[in-house]
Amino acid sequence: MKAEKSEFLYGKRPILKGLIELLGRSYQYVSILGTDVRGKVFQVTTTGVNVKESAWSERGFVIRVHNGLGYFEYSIDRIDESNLSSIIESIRERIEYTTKKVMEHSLEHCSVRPILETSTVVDFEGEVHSLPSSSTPEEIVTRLTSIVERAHAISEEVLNVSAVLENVRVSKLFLSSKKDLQQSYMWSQGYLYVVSRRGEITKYGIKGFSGLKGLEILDEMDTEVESVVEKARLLLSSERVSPGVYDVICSPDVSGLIAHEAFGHGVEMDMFVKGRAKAVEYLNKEVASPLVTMHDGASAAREVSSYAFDDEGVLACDTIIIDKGILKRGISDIVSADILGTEPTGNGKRESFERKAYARMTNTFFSPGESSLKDMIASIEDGYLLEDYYSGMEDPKNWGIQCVIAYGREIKNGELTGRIVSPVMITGYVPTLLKSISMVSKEVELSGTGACGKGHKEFVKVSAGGPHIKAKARLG
Amino acid sequence: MLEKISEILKSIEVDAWKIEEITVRGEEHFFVGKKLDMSRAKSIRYFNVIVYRDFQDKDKEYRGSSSVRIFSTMEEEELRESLEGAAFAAGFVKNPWYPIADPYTARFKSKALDLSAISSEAIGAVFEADVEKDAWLNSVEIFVTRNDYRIVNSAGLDVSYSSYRTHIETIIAASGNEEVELYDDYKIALPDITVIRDRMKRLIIMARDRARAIHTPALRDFAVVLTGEPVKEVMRYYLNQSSAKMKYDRISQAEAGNSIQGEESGDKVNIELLPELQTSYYSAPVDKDGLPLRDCLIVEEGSLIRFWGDIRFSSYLGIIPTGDVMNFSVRPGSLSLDDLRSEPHIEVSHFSAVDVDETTGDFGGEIRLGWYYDGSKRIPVTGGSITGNLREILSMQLSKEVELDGDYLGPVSVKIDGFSISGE
Repeated sequence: MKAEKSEFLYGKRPILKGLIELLGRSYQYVSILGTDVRGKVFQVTTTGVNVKESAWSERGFVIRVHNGLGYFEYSIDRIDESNLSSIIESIRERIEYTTKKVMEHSLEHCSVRPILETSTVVDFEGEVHSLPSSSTPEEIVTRLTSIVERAHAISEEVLNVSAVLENVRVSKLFLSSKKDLQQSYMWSQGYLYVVSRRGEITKYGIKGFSGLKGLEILDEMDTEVESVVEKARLLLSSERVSPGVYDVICSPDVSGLIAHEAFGHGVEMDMFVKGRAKAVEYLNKEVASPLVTMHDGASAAREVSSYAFDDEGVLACDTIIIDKGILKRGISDIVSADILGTEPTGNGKRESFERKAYARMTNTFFSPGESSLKDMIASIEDGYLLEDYYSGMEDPKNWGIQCVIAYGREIKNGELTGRIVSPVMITGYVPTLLKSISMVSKEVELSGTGACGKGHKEFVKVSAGGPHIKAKARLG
Repeated sequence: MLEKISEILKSIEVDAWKIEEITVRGEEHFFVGKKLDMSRAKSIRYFNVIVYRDFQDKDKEYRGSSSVRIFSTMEEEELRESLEGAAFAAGFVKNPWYPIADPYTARFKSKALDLSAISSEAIGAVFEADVEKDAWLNSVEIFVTRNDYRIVNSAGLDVSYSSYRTHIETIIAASGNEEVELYDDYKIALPDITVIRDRMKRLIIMARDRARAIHTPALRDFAVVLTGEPVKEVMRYYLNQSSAKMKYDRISQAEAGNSIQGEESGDKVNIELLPELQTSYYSAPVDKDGLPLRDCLIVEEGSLIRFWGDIRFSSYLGIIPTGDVMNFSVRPGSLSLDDLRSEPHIEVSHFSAVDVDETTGDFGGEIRLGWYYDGSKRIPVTGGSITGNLREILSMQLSKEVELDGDYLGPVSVKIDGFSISGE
């Protein structure tokens, strides 16, 4: 079933084209991105029910112009006949003021040239198995309620359960003198979050669900209730890991986190422009084991960050970042690509129409290998199988890595012992970690719950994943 | 538009409602070194609407709610459809009944300021510090906004206020053993030139330290001194344990009159809510429901005086609501920074990200910049991590010196025994 385009945006096409023509008389480059994103969150917890607008909902426009010296953008929620003149005047005024202030503070412009575009027309409507409108709010709340009740029925140690479903329909329009692009698609995410308590100890298990899906997420959530409760209870008897370097096997979501933090953020090419990426020194050099190939792209996989074009009107790509251990290229927004003399890769993304576009990840993952998980566990004398994660942070300048993993299952002499350590922090130097990868399993899984920040802001949807990988890591 | 929304709400099947109108005007400047990469401006208006429906089940009262975002560009048909859809959904949300804010009218006035002038001041203050050869500003992003809020509800509440916000994100680079960087995220209401300039100078000194830092050594049973942002996040853990929502959700085990800290020795925390903390980015006279806010002591000498929270969760706990306050202060400790640093320790000011889990009490972070003091020398260190659990620490001591950082006014440093350090 198709995720239909926004009637609002469609109705705005003529006036937006008119505005581009008017602004084009004064500026060398003009484009307008229109966004209309609507979503709903249904949450049932042990203590209450919430139905609310998704935090991703937005509607508005961002006008980008090049004034001969550099770019200026104007984000506005409304463009119609009554405010066209004031928009044009506001842009002119702001550019004039900024140019004056740059001189007053003895600063300069970056002197970026205007984007050169080729004529492109896209009209894309994504499909999902079942649209949210095919179920009523009552049906969705009832299903989530039954999931929560089932979790509680398993054990008295279950303290609080939260079952969440979020459906978001994205509709975007990108217009310039050469481009006419429109797309609509739907992504969804869900969480099953179980808090457990035994005496004074409180822990939680969490499982995420995501994809270019509709209500199918609920079916997936139904099948995982018992496993999430078991995880939450298992963690109640977890211990602290003794800091040190260990052989580890990373589950697909942990592999994805490593791919994302290590060589996702590390190769965002706006960092190349700023001299903030160590990766520049390592292009076409070995940065990982030959078993490692890593992709990123809106067309590389079918997950929450799959689209036809990015927020700067560049078509989606599948970029091979690392090819058999060799760093090949980064991922880019259009302006950084132009400065660096490279091809843009469809990675120019905004948190919303109110925010600037940066080079951001889409769907980032390691390619599969040949090993089996059973063989990988059997190969470890003293180590851990790391599963689930809480967070991570990037360090593109110095290639440090911080990953907070939910738990590790101890492996001794090739077997799982039943002992659990939690939480576990992976830190270290990225190439050291990636070059130590010695086994890669056959299956790949991606997950796209939550959001990715650049530093501590600019949150966008991404997915990450991979196969199981065996490596050496510093744990603490 | 607000009148149109309330007119439709009065005509559909809801028992109560709240409308929040938000208008944002902003200016943004993005610099790579001393070069302007891009400028932006914005002018946005939208509405957040919550509708409530009441019902009874087996003699118990329930209130359902559903929220919807209304855009200024919605025509009547779409507007009505959105509101009716929210009202329909609210009928399936079964929560114990709770009130909305009582009616009153207030217009909290603030001076009209020129956003361009504010940006210009911030730019000048930031770049004034960029004069060193071996440490410099790699990139700077400056965001200045004026935010206007109006909250009305079906009971007759009508309150409006404005706030100015300045957000400066800075990357400071330094050359040494290798080229390194430090990340800084600074949020304040209006830029104070002296404060910004001093902050940039301190960061440049720290970046230089990072450039000559060695790898964090492996250390056992070593005291940890946290300075700056990590302290704020540790204190926020105790603030969150005092939250009415956390208590209602069964996550917090705090009880009024009992300690919210663990068994650790040392200083007890004293926490106060300060809704209009001067110069805070987060200050506001009312909360999201329109409830007027006042300063409020919530923890005294480690004991919980009262839970804090919005109208809904406060009513569930049977307490008078404090409102959802954004700023908090922690009383200083008895030891000076020099005292805290007098014995061997590792001090950390910058982690990759400070991870404090409000549910479990777990603390962790990879060290971006710290200093190892062995009793005679103080050496910058980087790498490795510090982990632990705030419910299992052995002792905690707060510094006498305080600072304002975002929504926090409190001790600039805290010394903790009982964390693990992972190094080389």
